[in-house]
Amino acid sequence: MPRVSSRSVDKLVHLQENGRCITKLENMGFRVGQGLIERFTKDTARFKDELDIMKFICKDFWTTVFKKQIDNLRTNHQGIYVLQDNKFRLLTQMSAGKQYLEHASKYLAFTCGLIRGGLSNLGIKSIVTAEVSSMPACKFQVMIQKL
Amino acid sequence: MAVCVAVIAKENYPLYIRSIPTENELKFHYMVHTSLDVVDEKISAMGKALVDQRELYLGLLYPTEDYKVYGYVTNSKVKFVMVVDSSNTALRDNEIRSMFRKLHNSYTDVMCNPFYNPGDRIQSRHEGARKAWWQELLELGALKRLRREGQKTCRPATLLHQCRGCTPQ
Repeated sequence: MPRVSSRSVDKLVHLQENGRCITKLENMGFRVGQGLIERFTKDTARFKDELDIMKFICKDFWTTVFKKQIDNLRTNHQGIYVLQDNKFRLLTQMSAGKQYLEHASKYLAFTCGLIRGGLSNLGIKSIVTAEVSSMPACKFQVMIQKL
Repeated sequence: MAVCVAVIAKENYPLYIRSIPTENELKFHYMVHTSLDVVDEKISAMGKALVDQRELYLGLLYPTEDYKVYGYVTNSKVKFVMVVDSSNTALRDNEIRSMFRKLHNSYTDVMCNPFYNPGDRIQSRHEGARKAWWQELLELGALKRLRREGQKTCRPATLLHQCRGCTPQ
């Protein structure tokens, strides 16, 4: 019987745990995002279109949650938006080198859920992913799903 | 005074619908259902019309011989519909707006409740709170009537009309 080294088993279990954690965090962010958007859009005017909604997320929503705006919003006008934050509040306390790059995804999962929940309550179904190339800057990619 | 209030989800099913207990409550349910078409019409018309018409309050949707129906749509496409007794002729626009505002505030609180799953029926387990809310709505209607008619008696509009501070006929 082949001997499976305990170290590789540990690593596998660790990866699975990581995946489950991230999913759980994202789902929590989703529910919170729905409630937050309901509260924030209570007094605003009706939104004109998708771009208007994305701009609201980048400016008002981000300011209320993170006390700053999104630094850069790019789109290909076909349902893909990239939100770039050059100094993400949850990553500023970590060192700017490569040491903790792999752990950064855990800190971004809740925020991805936040964006997805907010958009879903406004009637937009989407998939939100995040990537970090250099701390503390990060990019959130939003893919709108046309029903 | 408001005779029926409904909160309708964006998929057009009711999340919460309550009316004054009368013999034929279903007719209010039908009125709310038919008003949904008018709401949709107003929203789509607004999209193509002037940009400054971006309010959440939709105003009078349609009048019938006994009742008037008002509508309000939130940014999350949840609709509030209110059916009001026509005999209360001068329920001003501002009052309807403030009623909708209170409703929107309550709905936002429900949404932020972590034990509430979005899309479920809204259930108020506090019977006392519900009664207090109805009392407030009734009072709003009754007070307006008293101010206009002086201290005369007020005609009960429904069998269960209760009104503080005036003698029933």
